[in-house]
Amino acid sequence: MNAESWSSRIGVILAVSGSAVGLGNFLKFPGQVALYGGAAFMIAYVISFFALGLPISIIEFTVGRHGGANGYNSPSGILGFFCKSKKMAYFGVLGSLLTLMIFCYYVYIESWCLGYAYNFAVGTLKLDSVEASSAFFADFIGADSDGSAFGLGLDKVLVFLIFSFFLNFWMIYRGVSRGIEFFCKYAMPTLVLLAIVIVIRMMTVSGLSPDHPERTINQGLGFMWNPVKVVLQENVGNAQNPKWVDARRLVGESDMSEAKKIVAEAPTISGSPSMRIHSISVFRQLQNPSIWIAAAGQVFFSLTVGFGCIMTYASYLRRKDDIVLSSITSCSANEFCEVCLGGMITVPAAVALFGVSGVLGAGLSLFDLGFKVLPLFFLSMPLGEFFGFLFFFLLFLAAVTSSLSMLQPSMAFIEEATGLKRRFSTSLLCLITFFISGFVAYFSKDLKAMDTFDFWMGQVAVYIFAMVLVTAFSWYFGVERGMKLANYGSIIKLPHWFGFLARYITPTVLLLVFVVWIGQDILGVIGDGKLSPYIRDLVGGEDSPPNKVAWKSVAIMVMVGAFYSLIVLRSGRYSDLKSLKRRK
Amino acid sequence: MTLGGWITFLFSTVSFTSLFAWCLYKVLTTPRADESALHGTFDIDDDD
Repeated sequence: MNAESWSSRIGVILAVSGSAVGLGNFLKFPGQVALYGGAAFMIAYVISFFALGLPISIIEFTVGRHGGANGYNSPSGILGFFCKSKKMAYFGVLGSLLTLMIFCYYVYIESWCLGYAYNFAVGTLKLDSVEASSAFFADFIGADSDGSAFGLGLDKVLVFLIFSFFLNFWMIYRGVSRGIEFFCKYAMPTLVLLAIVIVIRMMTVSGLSPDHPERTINQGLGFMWNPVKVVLQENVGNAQNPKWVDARRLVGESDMSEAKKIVAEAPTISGSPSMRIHSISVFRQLQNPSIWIAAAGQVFFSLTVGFGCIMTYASYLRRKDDIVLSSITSCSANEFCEVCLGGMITVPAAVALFGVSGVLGAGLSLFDLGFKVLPLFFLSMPLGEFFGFLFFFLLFLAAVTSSLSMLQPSMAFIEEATGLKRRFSTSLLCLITFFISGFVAYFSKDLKAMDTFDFWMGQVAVYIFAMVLVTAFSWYFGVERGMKLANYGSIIKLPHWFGFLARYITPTVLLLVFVVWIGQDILGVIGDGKLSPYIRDLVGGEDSPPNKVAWKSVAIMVMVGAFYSLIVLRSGRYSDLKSLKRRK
Repeated sequence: MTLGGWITFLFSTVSFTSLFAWCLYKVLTTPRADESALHGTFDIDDDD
């Protein structure tokens, strides 16, 4: 019987919330809201939260506590026991594998945050343009050439990578209660406090761009949250068959009056205007399937549901712990950090400095916003180095609480399957991840290794794992029995309609998002018809051979997966799972 | 930011903050399961 357990209920909630709250909350979410429009994105986001995120979280909690109550803590043991099948124990390997692979590149990103926090703290960051900021970023992480991240010195990422790596392993070695729970109990409240301080500072910033008085925090908030998207469009067709393409987003009075002037002065095409101001309603925006995929993806990845982390954490719960309330609390904590804190920092700050066009030009991606644009914002404001340090330290804490949750499934798996003592299992895991993280950091040119791991493990494998988990719960184990398990010890009982949601809606939405994502972004069957660059890296393109780093990355994933599968094959822990199957 | 923007922004933030605050209140005011029930099989028949 397993001796490890969470020491308090708030501890497990902070740990699960910590697992969910990461860089995506503070960097990716604001960019997504701004890109897809405030109200439309939020409608799709809230629907996805209730149809996808929350149900999968409750399912993971239920399955995990059930496995833990019967002595299993790893995804292999939990799923194998839940379905009374050794085949599912093999499938559970995917949960341990994907989280381990994500850890191996996540710790690299984590070290960027720590490195930026350090450089802000000691005042060595002297950046005055996006170009300078981009150059520093590329040099710091080694994006220019393979191996260039491995320089010694505090202007390179290696030192911070080693520190972050061993901090994670120290916490994992200390165990669930004395390590993970201990760290999250301090890190999460600190993180929220830092975020509140930064939000207050942000809201009081003014006059960052004296030459452009229209660039304000208010314009940034409008860029994110205004429900009706207003765009300046150009006709690239002709008078009979006009083809309007977006020229720029318009936010605020100043943008509008400037755009009206442009439209008035624009030449005509056979008497028809060549430019126009066009408003896109919320309803119209919601007809775009991309917004639904983006919202569902954001909820799914932000909550870290369907990864195998929550089920591992839940396996250390007591058997009468309230999992419904714990699940809703940790999900709502993540949403609070994402919508109420993350949503108010990044994009408004970037717009206040560069304006809407500048931000769109610099890019709304996670790394562009976080590591190229935001440092400039902090450096341009009074006490900016202090607030820059606070912000990147906040990101570092958020990243560590997430990466700890990525290590624990593998840790639990090795301990459970091999029976090794904590010291040896930690050493084995440390050895494996040290080489893979080193591989990711060494092959840093264009972040190719990291991107390949992220695509195959952080996206494809996660979708597959989540779909099988939900199907196993709803269709194999049975929704009625599953709800009975979830309600055991809960003060909030799951309503009857949850069964319908978990049985039909959640798997359908998950499948739909996966299929559209494959069709649109991977195979290019829908949309622009282009094959995903990650597939092209493996099969080669018309003018480029297959990428060797991508192939090496895939080979590493296969090798670790095979090693884990071999452990399941040789382990006696999963041999009798089939015999537990009830007799019909 | 337009009036619609403010409504979207306030509705989103207030809703999620309220949900989080309510959950925290429930967690902090509800006693935890007794110590004797650390692990072990469930009292309910989970396999039928």
